[in-house]
Amino acid sequence: MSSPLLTVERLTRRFRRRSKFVYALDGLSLELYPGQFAVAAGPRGSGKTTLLSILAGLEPFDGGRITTHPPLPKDVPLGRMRWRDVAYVPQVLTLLDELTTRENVEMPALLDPDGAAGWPAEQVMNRLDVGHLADAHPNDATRAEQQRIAVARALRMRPRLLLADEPTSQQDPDSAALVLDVLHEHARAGNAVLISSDSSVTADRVLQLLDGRLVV
Amino acid sequence: MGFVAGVLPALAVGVFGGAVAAYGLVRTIGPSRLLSTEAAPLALLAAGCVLLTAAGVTGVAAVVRRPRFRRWNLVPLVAAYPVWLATHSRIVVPLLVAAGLAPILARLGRRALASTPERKGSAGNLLARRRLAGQARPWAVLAVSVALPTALVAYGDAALAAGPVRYAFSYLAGLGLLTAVIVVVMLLWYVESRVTERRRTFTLLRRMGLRRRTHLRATGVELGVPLFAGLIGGLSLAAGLARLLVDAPLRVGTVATLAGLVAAIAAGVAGYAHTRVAR
Repeated sequence: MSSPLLTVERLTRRFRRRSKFVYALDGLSLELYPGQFAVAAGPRGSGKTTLLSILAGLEPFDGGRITTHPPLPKDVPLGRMRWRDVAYVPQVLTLLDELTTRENVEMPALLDPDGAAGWPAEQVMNRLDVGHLADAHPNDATRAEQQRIAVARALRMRPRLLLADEPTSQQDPDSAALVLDVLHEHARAGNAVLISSDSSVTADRVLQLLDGRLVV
Repeated sequence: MGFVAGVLPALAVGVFGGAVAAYGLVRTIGPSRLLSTEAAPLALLAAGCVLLTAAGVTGVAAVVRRPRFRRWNLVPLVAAYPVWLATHSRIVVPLLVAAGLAPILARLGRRALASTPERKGSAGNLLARRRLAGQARPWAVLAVSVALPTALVAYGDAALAAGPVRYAFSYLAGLGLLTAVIVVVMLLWYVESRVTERRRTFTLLRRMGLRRRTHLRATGVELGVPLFAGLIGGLSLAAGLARLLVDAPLRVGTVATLAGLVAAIAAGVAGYAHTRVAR
């Protein structure tokens, strides 16, 4: 395999509960490669969401090191990465209710200096079967459709690394297969994809987490 | 109309509670030329007027929120002409025209806010416009709650300067100040009620490339537009009343003071909202 896109070494995230520390992540190490579709699996509370939030730059960590490699920019904190480099589908979807779904998907392009790049909003929405909702508002869509809109927003700039927290949790089996197909395609195009999932998902690599540690 | 019906009980309780409190205060602390001798009927009359105004405001706000044009929206506009011929009233006819135009202008305004095509790099403007359009109801209420005391104070001041004092201006100024405080509290409450959701959104938008100053600008526009719309509406109303009733212009100093007050409120609350979300 080629050189990694991202290296995580002994990553630790802990929270204080009364007088004790509880470890959400406890010395976790992993590497993600271009073209790889990886799944962080494990029961609730195993650290999947914390791992993805930290990699997305939305949450700090207490110990360890995260290193990015080209084509990701080097020496740029994860929180400062551009959407075209690292995109994220959070579990709380954070769609803007004031905007139409197309505008939600288009938002990363509006905020990018080179907004013309990437995957046109209409195409990615059609691919995820939410094209008919382009002029509707997120509140008018079902929870499953909202989740696919959030996936479309993450894919809009064709990010080098796509992180998705339970992106199929609201989908029926057919729609889940569609979302996973699209994410697999994105990985096959030379990008890295890391999702979290409770259920079994076919992947190039499964990171089995338990109590903040990698067990497989 | 469901919205109007929904908020009327709360408005009625607030209005009549306020009227009773005002009556009690005037009776114990008074006297005033406005309320001392006939406090009870005047308080009830004021309460009725405020209630009617509130119903009108919430009705217009409901139209702004869901701007469906209906044929009856044209009735006041069509009625204005025969009423003018019959009465030559310079108060009723403009009110009828305003009532007829309000839903049409509201619809046009909402359409302009909601359908402007976005351009590259215009995320802040898009966000501000859509938030204005999406929150049309509270913003319409806010604009009117700024406009009414602005009109009262500006008109009262002009009338005081123009001739014999017919109204207790200090009461009007006090009412204006009290309303300004209420508006600030309402705005802060509005900001606080949305902090969690907006902080989450801001965090993700920051990851997409939103700049802090873009967010501050969008917040300023979102909060400033209804406040300044209220200011302009209130000053226009006051100017019209002053010209019609006492044939006097508004005083420049008072207008500048009111504009400064509104600008200070807009800047202060926008800065606070930005800081709470983007800390």
